[in-house]
Amino acid sequence: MNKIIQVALNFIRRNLNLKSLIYILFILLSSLIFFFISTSNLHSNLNENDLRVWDSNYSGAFLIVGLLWIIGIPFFVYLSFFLAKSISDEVSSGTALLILTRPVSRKEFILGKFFGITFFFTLINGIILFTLPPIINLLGVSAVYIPSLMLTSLALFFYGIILCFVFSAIGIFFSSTINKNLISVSLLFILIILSFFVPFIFSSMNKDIFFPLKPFSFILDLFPLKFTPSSISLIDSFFDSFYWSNTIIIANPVSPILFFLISFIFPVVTILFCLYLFSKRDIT
Amino acid sequence: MTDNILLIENLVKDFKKRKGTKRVLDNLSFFVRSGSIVGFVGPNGAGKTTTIKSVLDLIRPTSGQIHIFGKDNFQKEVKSKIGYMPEKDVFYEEMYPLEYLVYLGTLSGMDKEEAKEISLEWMKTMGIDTALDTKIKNFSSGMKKKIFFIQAVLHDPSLIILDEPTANLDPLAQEQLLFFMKSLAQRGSTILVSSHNIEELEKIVDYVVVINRGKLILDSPLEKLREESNKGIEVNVNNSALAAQILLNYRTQIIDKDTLIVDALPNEKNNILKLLIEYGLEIRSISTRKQSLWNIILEILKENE
Repeated sequence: MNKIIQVALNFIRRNLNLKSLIYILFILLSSLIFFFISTSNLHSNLNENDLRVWDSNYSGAFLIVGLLWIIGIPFFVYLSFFLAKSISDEVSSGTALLILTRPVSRKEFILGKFFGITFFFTLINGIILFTLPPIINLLGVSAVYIPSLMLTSLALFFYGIILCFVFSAIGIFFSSTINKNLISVSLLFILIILSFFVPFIFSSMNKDIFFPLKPFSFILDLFPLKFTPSSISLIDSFFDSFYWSNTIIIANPVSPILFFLISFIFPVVTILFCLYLFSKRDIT
Repeated sequence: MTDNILLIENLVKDFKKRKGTKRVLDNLSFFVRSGSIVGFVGPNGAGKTTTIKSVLDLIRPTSGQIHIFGKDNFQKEVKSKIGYMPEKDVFYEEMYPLEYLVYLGTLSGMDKEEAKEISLEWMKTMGIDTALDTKIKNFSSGMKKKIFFIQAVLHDPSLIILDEPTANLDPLAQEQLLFFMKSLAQRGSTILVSSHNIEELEKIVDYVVVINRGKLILDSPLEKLREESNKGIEVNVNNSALAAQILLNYRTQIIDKDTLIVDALPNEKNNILKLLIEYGLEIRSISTRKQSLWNIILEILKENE
C-alpha cells in the first residue's frame, strides 16, 4: 500500500505544474463566461419575484456549464491525453524500469498510477468547482444563491470522481496494453463519445435539436441530489420540453444495480484484467 | 568470494515476431561470485540487455531459472538488494536531483530522511552538490550520468548491475566512476557491468563473461585469460641471433638483429634474463607480450562466428 501511495503522490506532485494551472484558469474563466451568458438569457424570461425559480435557474445554468465544460469536453480531452501516456510513456522512456527494478510490484505500479490520476483530476475538479461559486458571488450574484451553487458543485464533484474512476480504469488499460498513445487516445475518445453522445446524436438527427444534456442526466437520478431538487426538476423539464421522445434516453432512471455495475464493478474488473496482462508482458 | 550471488541456469528467451519467433537467449548459464566485478561483454544484439532485464524481472524468460542470493529473482526481498543503472539515462526531467533520488530511495525501502542524507553525501562525493537547485533537465550529460549512478547505489545494494555506465563521460569522470565501482566492490558489493569499452573494463573487472547470439562464449577470471593469452617474452639485445642460440631450450623467433621473441610464460622472464646475462649479452629491454583484453575477446568472438 505504501508503494502505491508513493507512486500516486509522485504522479500528482510531478503534474501539479504550470500546465495544470493554465488548465484550471482556462476552465474557470470560460465557465464564468458561459455561466453569465446562460443566466442573462434566462433572467429576462423569468418572474424575478419567484426566488425558487431564480435559484433553479442559477443552479441549472451552473449544472449545465459543469456537465458540459468543467467535467465535460475539455475535462475528457485533458484526461484522455494523461491516460493514454500514463503507462506507455513510462515504459517507452524507461522511467518504469527504475521503479520496477526496485521492490515495487507491477500491480503496485499500475494501481499507483490509477489512484494518482484519479486523485489528480479530483483535485483539479475540486479546485475549479469549489472556487467558482465564491467568484460568481464576487462578480455580483447575491450570496443567497451561493449555497445551492455549492451543492451543485458538490454533486458535480462526486460525479467527476465517478467519471474519473471509470475512464481512468479504461485509459490505463489501453495505455498498459497499447504502446501507441495516439491509438489509446483515439480509442478513449470513441468510447467517451459512445458513452455520452451517440444516443443524443441519433435523436438530434430526427429533430435537429442539439442539447446534449439528457445523456448526462442519468447520473443525476442516481445521485443523492435531494438537496438540489429545483435544479434537477428544471433540467428534466427543460430537457423534456425540447426532446423528441423519451424513448432514446440513456438509462434514465438507472437502477442502483446498473449504477453499481458501471461505476464500480466495471472499473475494478478492467483494472484487474489490466494488472493480469501487464504482469505477463515484457518491459523492454 | 566463493558464494554465487547470481546464478543463471539454461536461460532461454524467445521473442515473438511476425514471422515466427526469434531466440535471443539460448540456454545461457553463468554465475557471478560474491564481491567480484564481472565484465559482461558481447557485440550488439548478443543478448546482454535481455539477460540483464531478465535478471531484473523486467523480461519474463521462456524457460530457465534465475536465482539471486539463492532466491527467485522476482521476490521483493531480492529486488531491494539490487541496484540498476540502465544504459539510457531516464529521468523525470522536471524533478530536482534530490527529489528524484529521495523518491527512488524510498521506493527501495529507505526512510525519507535517510534517503535524503545519503543522497546528499553521494552528491557531495561526486561533486554535484552545487546543482541541488537545478532541475535535472538542465544538467549536463555527465552530471545526469552521476545522478543515475547514485540512484543505483543509494540504498547500498549487494548486487549492482550497470549497463554502459561510463558512456558519454569525459575521461576524468570515467576514472571517477571506475574508482567508485572498485570501492563498492571492496566494500562487499558485487558488480555486473556491461560495457563496450573493454579497455576501461580491463582496469576493474575480476571476471569476464562473453556472450554472442544469446550463447555463452566465455566465462573466465581476467588473470587466467591474460595468462592464456600470453604471446611470449620480447627481448631486446645487442645480438638476437646469439641470444636465440643461448635459449635453445625455448622456441624463439628472431624479429631483427636486436629483437627476438621467446615462447615462454611470464614467470620465466627472470630465468631468461639471468641466462642471457651469464653469457655476457647486453640486454636493453625484456617484457612479456600480452594481448589486450579487447583483442582476446575479438579473437574469441571470431572463433565462435
